[in-house]
Amino acid sequence: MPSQLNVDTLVAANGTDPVVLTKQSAAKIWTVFDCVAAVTDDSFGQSSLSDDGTGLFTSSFTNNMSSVSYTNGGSPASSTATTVTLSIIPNYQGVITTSSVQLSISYASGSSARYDYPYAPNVIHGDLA
Amino acid sequence: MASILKIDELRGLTSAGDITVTSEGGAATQSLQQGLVKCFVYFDQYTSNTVQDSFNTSSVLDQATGIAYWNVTNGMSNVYGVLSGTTARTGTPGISGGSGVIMNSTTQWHVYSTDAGTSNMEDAEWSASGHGDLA
Repeated sequence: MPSQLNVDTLVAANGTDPVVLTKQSAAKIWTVFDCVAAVTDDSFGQSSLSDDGTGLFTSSFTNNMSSVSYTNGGSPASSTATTVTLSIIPNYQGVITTSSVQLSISYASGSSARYDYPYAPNVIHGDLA
Repeated sequence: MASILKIDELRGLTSAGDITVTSEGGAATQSLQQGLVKCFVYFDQYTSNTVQDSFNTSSVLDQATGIAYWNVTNGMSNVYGVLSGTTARTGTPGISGGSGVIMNSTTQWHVYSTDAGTSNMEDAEWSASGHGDLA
């Protein structure tokens, strides 16, 4: 017989620790933003987004990560149906902090120049503080 | 003593789509549902146009060289899903969208793969995951 549990909050048996998702992990932060308009289209766990220059944005988190050893990933879209390879990566190691990350959106080939793409997503996995 | 609850379905009590979980470090709480990946796929667009593994995926259509439409079974709440993916082909380092969008609709992702050397669309074996809110 199928079973269904209706709850508002899940915690470990001691009442405080996080519940374990067996062999799975949920994303902690995700965002998709428009570099041209400098606005966030949709997000989860992001408190704010700042425009630091062409193809350079800082995503700040609602809740801090436990360390800087978390993953970032995303696949941007250009403004036209064009044949370029795009990337979104942390700008450099030093801008990865537990409360924010500065992202560089650029061509992945050719000039590798930063560019304001209209669709820039990033998803973060790891542990929260 | 560790406890394990074995059930088939979890649903929010106050709101069916909202269950709160505690962070790993115990400093915060946040939504369980919003963090879960909503769809993933591994598509071989290079040799066989075959979906090798997937979740919440109804089909993947080979539209043209380096262009694929990825259809999901349960739609997203808007067209601003978060795409993250890569390819398994040397010289074709990543996937992307185009024309300013990555979703043609709430049930269809638009995926490009491009050769970094020639900047031409190039077929590749690629994998992707989608985050965001389901409808």
